[in-house]
Amino acid sequence: MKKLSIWLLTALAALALVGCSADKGPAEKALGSAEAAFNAIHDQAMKYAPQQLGAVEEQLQGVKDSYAKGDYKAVVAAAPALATAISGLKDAATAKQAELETALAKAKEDWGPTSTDVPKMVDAIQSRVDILSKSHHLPKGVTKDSLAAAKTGLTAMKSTWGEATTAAGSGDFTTAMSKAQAVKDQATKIMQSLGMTSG
Amino acid sequence: MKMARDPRPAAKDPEDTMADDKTTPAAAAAANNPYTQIHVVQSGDTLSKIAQKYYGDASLYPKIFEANRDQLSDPNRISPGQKLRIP
Repeated sequence: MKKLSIWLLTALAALALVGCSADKGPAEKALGSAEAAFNAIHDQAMKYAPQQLGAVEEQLQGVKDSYAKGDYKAVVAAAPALATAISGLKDAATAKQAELETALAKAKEDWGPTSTDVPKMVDAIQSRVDILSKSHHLPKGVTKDSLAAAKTGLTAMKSTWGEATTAAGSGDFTTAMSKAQAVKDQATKIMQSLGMTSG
Repeated sequence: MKMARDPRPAAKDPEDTMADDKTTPAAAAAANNPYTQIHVVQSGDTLSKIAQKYYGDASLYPKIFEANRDQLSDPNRISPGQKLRIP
């Protein structure tokens, strides 16, 4: 009876070992596939979906830890969810990249007319400010404060416009258009404050 | 500029205001700028009155004259309906 028990325990231990070893191959394959898929999209994800990348990276690390501990069953069990997460990360990064590329293309297209439009707004304001500065009395609706604000605004607009053209020169049309829009908005307000919008 | 504060003769017939081709840099700049304000001349308008309205100072009427040299040859002669650029 004692011999039988020893034999049975040995057999069970061997079976367990065989079981573990049997899982090692699929675990290794699953982990390898996941790592390869993750590495393939890492740079794109880093640029376009950094937050999701962090979450998936943690998930992958968990699976690696299970593998390192020899918990192959856990690796095999976690593999499908990890594959889904990596696939989702790829989709998110690709979608974000496409969105940004579309926005960049539009900004590039818009920059052409804007690059001639904004300086004309600034020129028109500069001309009016120069003339009003020589005026003995300001016109109805224009105050000394609004003229002073227009002068300050002109300096700020020229500075922001300089930044916009620099951004456009380096190909960053999204930033260029964002700054150009800020200048346009400010110019519109100043034109209104100087009574330049009515005939 | 003695004339500056003198009341300008009121807007007259368009035939009297035929422009000669004396486009100045100021006129060219204003003409090429869509953001330059436009004033449509009304009967009784003078450049001085228009300068008073937009600049608060009638004596600055030459600024308007210079910006419209392509269509004005005489600051005393503007006509109703004319679209003047106000720099």
